[in-house]
Amino acid sequence: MSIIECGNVGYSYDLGVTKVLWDISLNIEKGDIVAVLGHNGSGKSTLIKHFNALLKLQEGRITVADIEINNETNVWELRRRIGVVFQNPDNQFVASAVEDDVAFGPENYQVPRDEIGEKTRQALSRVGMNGYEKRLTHTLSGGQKQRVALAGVLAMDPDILVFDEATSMLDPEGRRELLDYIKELNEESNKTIVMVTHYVEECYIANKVMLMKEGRLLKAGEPRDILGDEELLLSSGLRPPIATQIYLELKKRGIELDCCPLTEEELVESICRLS
Amino acid sequence: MSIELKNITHIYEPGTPFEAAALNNVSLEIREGEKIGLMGRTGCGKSTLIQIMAGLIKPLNGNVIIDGIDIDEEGYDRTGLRQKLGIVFQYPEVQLFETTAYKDVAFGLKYSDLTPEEKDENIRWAFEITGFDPDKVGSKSPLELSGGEKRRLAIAGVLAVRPKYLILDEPIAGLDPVAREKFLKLLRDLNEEGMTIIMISHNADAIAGFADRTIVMSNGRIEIEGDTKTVFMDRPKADEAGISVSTAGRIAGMLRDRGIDVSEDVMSESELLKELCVHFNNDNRSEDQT
Repeated sequence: MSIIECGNVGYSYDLGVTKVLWDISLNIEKGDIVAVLGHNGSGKSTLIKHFNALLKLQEGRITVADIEINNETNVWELRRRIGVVFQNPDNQFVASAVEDDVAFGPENYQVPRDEIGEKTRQALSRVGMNGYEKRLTHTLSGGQKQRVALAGVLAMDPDILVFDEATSMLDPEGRRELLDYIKELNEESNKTIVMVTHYVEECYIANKVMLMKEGRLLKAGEPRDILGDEELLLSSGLRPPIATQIYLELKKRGIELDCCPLTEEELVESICRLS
Repeated sequence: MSIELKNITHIYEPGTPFEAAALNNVSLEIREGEKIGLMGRTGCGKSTLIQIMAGLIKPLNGNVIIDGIDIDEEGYDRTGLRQKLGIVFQYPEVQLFETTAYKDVAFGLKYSDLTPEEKDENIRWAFEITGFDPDKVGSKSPLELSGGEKRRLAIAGVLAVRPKYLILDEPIAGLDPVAREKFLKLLRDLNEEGMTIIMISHNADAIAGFADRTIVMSNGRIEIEGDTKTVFMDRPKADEAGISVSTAGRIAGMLRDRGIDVSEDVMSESELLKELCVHFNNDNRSEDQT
């Protein structure tokens, strides 16, 4: 069952002078991890801002969890079902103390008070920020802020989680942890995940990659088919992950590994097998 | 000429329930002309350190000495400091505020002693070096530009005062690979012109390709410091401080752990590729012999 359906979506920020989305049609299935990949300005963020009705649909049709997104009476229900973690956490903080910020979502949906406390604690401990309840958000580091922003979304327990470049401020450990955690959310709680990224290295956790370029959906497919296609990526201002690049370069030199690796571990395994 | 930090200790909101230690007795010298990479886990004190370096936060203890003068000395020329040391914050694009791109870039020169002609020359240079045509972009509203362009424009505004020292906090976060490479080239060009550059980044591949010297912080202290290659070669220490070595360096280490002979000082993809070619060709040769 498709949980997100887009048909022929188009968008322009300036009344049609310059279009930033062109005829985008795609389906995201329940339980998918989809990576929306593309260079800066390819339209990734514009597209996903439609999913929770932050942007008003101009052309085409979008349903999210069977909800028509352009019907304004549906907005509350829509935003309960889909949560977005943005690139810059400062843009989504509403309260000064960590726990108040995380509690903001449930409060607005009139969750009973004692449940809010529990949800807040749970959400913070899931992102490894327990103990920070009373801290002021502005005293946190960039990466810590990003975790708190994620906790705020988790506290709402949405079916679909969208990450808009949400790993960009994290350190490598933090990024790995977040990616593992995203995978866990997907596997254990069957959350549908949409991650917007230009980090090709992150696409390994996805089961589907949608490559965007200049406002169009260039290609959708399995991660290996897209990340192993150097020409396609280069033409979109991107490069394959380093492990994949090494594989491709070895191939050019007549050394063929048994599979196209997406991660460092996969590359090492296949080099060891050949050795 | 240098930036010198002596025994810097800093605590946020001391004496309140929100008290949080940020820096613990940090000493450091950055010499003119260096390209410095500053790394460490989120929350390790990197951003606090550079704000102290720029005189934006007064540390609880310790001294900041820039070009031989303590910046907390009475009568210190703070305006002069602003012209000497430029700082680019995380997401600098949010600090654009003027009505036109030209005015925004010009703002830092408002109180400088330069003549209008000299100011204009600096501004045009800042536009050009960040990849803009001042005649085309100058009259536009900063808000009309794309995300990547806004970031470059914000940096142009910092560069227009022609600082001697340039400090950047995660300047490449959120840039795609092509934009990232272009940006690092810009920093290298500026360094060639004599600018000292201090860059905070989590991206080990970017640091490996850019910095002469790398400083790694952990829990408010300097944990590792040295020339970049040496820092990345010490994998156990790097792991402990939570930084990843460059991707190629990490792959090389994993191969060594599996008994494949790859040199210790592999840092870039091309070095790794060369080693792998040697490895496989040797293998082929030994097979031929048997």
